[in-house]
Amino acid sequence: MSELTISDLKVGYKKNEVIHGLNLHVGSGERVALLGANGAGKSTVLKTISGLLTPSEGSIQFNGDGIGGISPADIVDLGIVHVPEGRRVFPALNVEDNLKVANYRKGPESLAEGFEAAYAAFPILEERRKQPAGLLSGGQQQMLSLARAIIAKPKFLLIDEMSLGLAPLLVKEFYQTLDSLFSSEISLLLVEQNAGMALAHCSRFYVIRNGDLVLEGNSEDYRDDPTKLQPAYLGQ
Amino acid sequence: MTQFIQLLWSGILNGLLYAMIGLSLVLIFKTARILNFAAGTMAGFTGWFAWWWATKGGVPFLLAILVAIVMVAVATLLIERLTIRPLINENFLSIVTITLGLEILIANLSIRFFGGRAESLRIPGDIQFKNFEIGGVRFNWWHIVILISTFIILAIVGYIVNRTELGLAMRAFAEDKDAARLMGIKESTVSQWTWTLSVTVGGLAGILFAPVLFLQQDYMNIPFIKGFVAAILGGFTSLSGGVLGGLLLGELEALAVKYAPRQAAAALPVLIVFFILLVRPRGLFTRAKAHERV
Amino acid sequence: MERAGIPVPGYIKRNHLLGVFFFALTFLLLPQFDQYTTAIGFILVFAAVGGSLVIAFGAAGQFTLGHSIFLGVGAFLSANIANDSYGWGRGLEVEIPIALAVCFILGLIVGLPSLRVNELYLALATFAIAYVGQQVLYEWKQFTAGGSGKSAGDLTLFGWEIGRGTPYIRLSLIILLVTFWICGNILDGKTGRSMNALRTSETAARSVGINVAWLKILAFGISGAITGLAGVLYIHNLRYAGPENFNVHLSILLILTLIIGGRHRLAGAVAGAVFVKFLPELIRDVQEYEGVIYGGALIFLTLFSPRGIIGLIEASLRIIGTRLAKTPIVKVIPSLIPSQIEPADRSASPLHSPPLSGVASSEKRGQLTVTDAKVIFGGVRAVDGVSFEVEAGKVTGVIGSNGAGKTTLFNAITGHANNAEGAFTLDGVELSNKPIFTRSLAGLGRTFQNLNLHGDIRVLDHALIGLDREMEYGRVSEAFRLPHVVRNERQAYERSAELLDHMQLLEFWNEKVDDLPYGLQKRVDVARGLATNPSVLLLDEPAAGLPTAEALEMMEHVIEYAAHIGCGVIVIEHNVELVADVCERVIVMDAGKILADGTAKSVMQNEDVIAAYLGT
Repeated sequence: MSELTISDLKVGYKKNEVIHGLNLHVGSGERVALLGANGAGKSTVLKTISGLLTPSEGSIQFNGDGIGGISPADIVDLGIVHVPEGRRVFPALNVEDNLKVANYRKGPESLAEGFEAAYAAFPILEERRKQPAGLLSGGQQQMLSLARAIIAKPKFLLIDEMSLGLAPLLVKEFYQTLDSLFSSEISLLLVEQNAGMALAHCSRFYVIRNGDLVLEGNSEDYRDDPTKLQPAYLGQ
Repeated sequence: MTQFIQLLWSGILNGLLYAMIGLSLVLIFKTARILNFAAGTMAGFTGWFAWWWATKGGVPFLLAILVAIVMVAVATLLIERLTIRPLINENFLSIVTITLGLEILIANLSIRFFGGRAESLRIPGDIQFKNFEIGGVRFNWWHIVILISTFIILAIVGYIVNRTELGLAMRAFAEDKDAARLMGIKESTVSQWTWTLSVTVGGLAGILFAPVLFLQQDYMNIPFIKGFVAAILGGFTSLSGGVLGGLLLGELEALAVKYAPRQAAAALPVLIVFFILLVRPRGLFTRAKAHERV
Repeated sequence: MERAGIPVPGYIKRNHLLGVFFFALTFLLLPQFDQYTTAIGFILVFAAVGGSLVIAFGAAGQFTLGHSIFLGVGAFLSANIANDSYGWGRGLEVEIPIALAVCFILGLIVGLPSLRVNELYLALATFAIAYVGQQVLYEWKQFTAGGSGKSAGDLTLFGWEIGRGTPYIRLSLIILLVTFWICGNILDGKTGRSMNALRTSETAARSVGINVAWLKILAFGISGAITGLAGVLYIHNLRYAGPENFNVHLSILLILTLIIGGRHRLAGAVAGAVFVKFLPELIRDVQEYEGVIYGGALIFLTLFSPRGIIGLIEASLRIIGTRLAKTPIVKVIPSLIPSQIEPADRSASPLHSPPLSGVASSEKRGQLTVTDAKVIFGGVRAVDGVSFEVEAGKVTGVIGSNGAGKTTLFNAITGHANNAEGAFTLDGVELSNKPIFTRSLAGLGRTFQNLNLHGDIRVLDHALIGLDREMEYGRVSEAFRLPHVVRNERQAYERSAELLDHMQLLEFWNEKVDDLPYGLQKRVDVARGLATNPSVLLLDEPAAGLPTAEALEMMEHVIEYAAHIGCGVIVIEHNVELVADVCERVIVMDAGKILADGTAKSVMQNEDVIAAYLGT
């Protein structure tokens, strides 16, 4: 079971409310896209789920238990894994250490298994396992970031802007591997600016604009022509 | 020739002191991004504390050291919890001010508890007074103890930082706080163990070098300054850089005292600081980082 | 329209009267405290240093642990002059100016590291300076007589002999009063504002035309000079000075005194000095535990009242004040502050207001030429050969998806991107490779995606710092608050009030920007940019996070004001509706290059643009 329900969520930085009462639901095993233009608040939502930010109002429930405001470490223990925007690998640490960190909450027994899975998915990481992660290319760093997510044994995945700064072909590949990397039992909340990619891989979507939910729907209705989303994105 | 080797050896000895203080400063800087201005005073207090247990407390020498270190470590955990942790998200100035406050407070306590006069730390067998010669170069037994102990301490710290989960957490946290938190690393854990490790290393330096520097008021203050020059030489973010910086500074000092005019030798630390800060802030021992987004 | 309540800049402030009151009180009561004169003398010394640090640290944000050296140099200069070692004459009238001059220059030198390193490293560098400074003082036997130190000479002023004890303290009081008056004038004028700006956001300060580098060094120079003066007072008070007095501990104590007192106010310097220097006198028993008390006080205040003792007092007064405000109470003292500024009475709606005074210009400015701009780092081509030209006085929009390079392009133009290539000219003036503040002074204004506002500073000051570049007075005049300084300040306040009024911020003029809601903060950012009277204003997502209606209204005000002063506007935005509404021309960027360039309508219908924006 990995079901997430957000009710009337409000999040603010100091005096500014950035998210104004959001409602969102991801069922077990569902893949849902969170769309919207830059600055709409998508990353903020993910950061609030993963515990980096605290909600000022509203609730976040995972399998019926409230998780709003608990520490990121506890969120990880619950099986909610956040792959942050911009990869955020640890540049001075080598690839292997980066992977080890992902195993931090799991205990040494699962480390070997984790390495195996990670290297099987991305062989190049094994090749470069002693290299500082800062020297990897953008695409390789994204691989590392996803490998860390594999090791964290997620029940619920939060992925933030996987396509950022990567060549389109590479992005396509990543999306294709998503299915093989993570079983269909793992729920996914995917933040993307690239609507087409997101719709192709998710069954439902929400569009956020300026911190408000402005549209939700089924991907199949928009897959053929994502430009239909333009008004929601851009506010016309 | 023998004189020269003697000179180099004294340089190494001082260098080890600076290296340990430098290491303790870099440990805190890497994770908390501040300079612990109380480092010297805390190290000195630990040295005095060991002396107190050995003399007034009537405890055998090695046990006195152990008790002093353990009690100081526990005190550090408390101090971190009560005064540092609440400010962890404020800007650096608040925590630096706290360390300055601690510096004044602990220095005063030190005088009150241990008396203001100079004392000496008696070592079993009085080995700090025993010397031996190799090829005309004089060595002191206690200095050898320092050499060996320091290597062991550095090796242990190195092991902790590079081979343990805790060390991995500390390193990851130092690189990217939020990403580390997403991996499940707790800020509180990193903070408390970093401070404890740092103060313990400093405390051990304070004890080891007490017979060399003699226990007096503020005896670890100048080593603190030298230690932070060492840390700067290492760019302040490299642990091994801090250690190497300490050794380098020790040698440079030894040579300067011998071959340079007095004023220059006295000004050496600040000259180094200015040079590094103005010309090469990342220190001598670190490679340039890949460019970051502005 | 309501009275905004902005006090008109004048010569006397409420604080001046308070200061004179305490001064008079102390002056008169001094003979009663005969046995404390030395301690009081030290309070004055510490207060003077504290005052200088309010400028260097409280305002300019330079955390310095090296001030003991200025105290020492000042003290020894005094001793040597008094012994006629230099043949320049004797007496305070010689000692003080020389101490000021020498320590000013010394301060400029000591301040150099602040240019290269951030706050923490600056603390380290000044810490090292204090340490080595003491060593140098020891070694420099001629100047300091090494370990034996020097004794103070006779205290004379223009030939008058000043007795020890009460007469000397009274003289010190007067000197301190004058010093505080000067410090206050500096803090109230453009120098103080610029320093506060650089403390709270260096990036933004540069973009408003502040020469951050010079200002930092100047902060050290001014504060060093005043501390040197305090050194003269020091040695005459103690009758002796030796290098051992001027050590790192003293340096730390000097700045901690201000932190304890409250570094945002000159009163904090006094409060801190009294706490540190007088308390031990009163409570002799605990003198042995001085360190525990100071350290403890410091830790306590840092945890619970970062604004120091004065902060605690102010907070209490505020609580009392709000409680009192709820009860009917008579005005105790009529306000001594003269009239208040009223913005021009406008019955017309803001959108059609008459031209604002002093800045209307029929001439269109802001012709910006960008040639082959490139910003490449770490293999990422953020801006990859962008060239375009914007005509004077036009409104241009720049849109593009996340990561297209829009902000980076702005950074290249304004100088915020370190490794930008390409040529940029504004109204014929070459901007390339010039520092940020130079470009700003040439007419380039900007706002920021993440605001970069000056957190604990009032909204009014955000407008004032933009106008500071047009102030026609020098820093020396400012220090003495000469008439033309007051005149310039009044004009600046009036123009700022008008600008704030136009941007509908006037009622918030006294709010600290951190306390405002996001929408208002965005407007302050824009107002600050407009206040610099730019030739072209670069707006970076001014509407982000705002509801469209509010954003549109703000943009209309901005465009109107821009039209009045004749400046052009280039705006990065994601809100396409907004862009279509206000921009005559729209440039679309994608992956560092220009994808389309034309009218809003044509660009929106461009297929490539739609594909890129929606990422299909």
